[in-house]
Amino acid sequence: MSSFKPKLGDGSIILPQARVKMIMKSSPDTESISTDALYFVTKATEFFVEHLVQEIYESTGKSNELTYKGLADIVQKSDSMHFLKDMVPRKITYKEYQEILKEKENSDLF
Amino acid sequence: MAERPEDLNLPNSIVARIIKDSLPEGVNVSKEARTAIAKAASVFVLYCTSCSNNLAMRANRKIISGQDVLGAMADMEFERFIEPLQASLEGMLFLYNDKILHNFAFLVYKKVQKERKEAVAKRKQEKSDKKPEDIEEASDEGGENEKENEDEDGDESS
Repeated sequence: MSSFKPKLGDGSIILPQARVKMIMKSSPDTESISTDALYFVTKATEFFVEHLVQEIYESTGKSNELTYKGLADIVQKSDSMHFLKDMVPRKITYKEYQEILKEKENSDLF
Repeated sequence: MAERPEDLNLPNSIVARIIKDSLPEGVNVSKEARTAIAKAASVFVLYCTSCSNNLAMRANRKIISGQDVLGAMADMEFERFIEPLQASLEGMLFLYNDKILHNFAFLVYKKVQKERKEAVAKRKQEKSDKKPEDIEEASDEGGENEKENEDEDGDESS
């Protein structure tokens, strides 16, 4: 596992902590969040975006076009991104969707 | 306060900046990808909160601590973030201390200035207070006051 050297690692913050806190509070059973916990979550999210973007870039062979498809591919393939699987699905055509439905119906019959 | 949907999302412009800074120049990112990445970041926050909260609850704590978040990173298979997070916190404290020192020095400076102004104002006030009194004593009860003054002087010298 290569070491991760983030560009935003000097201590400054870009994402608004107040907004991050709001999102955290919307999570069920969350009561109180300490200041350093909030700081870590905010920073980790910045690192996550940086890491995700770099993974996409590498996986598409350093293409100059970063598209939704590149993102969807890496989410479906990468183990650490499994929590995003439902959120970033691969796009399929309506025809492909119909075929999937058909297959499902057939398997349900048995 | 009702939560509007956009409040549970991170600001797109800021996420766009992080994306841009994470890539070499000249790489185009589609708007669709940017929006999806911003949403993914929000989901990351939720996932992180959930994992951290689990750790806190297991330790019978109601407050999610920094250690819980670091532990969650390991659980989420993002150990690579742990060291940079700790280093980042030190960096932030350093910046913050710097700011505190700067603010403190500024406050001390302001206080010293204020005290000087007050001292100057007080001396002025004392000077202007004396003058009318001298005039009164001289014109009204000249003799008696002079005697009193002599007595005072006598006390002072002994």
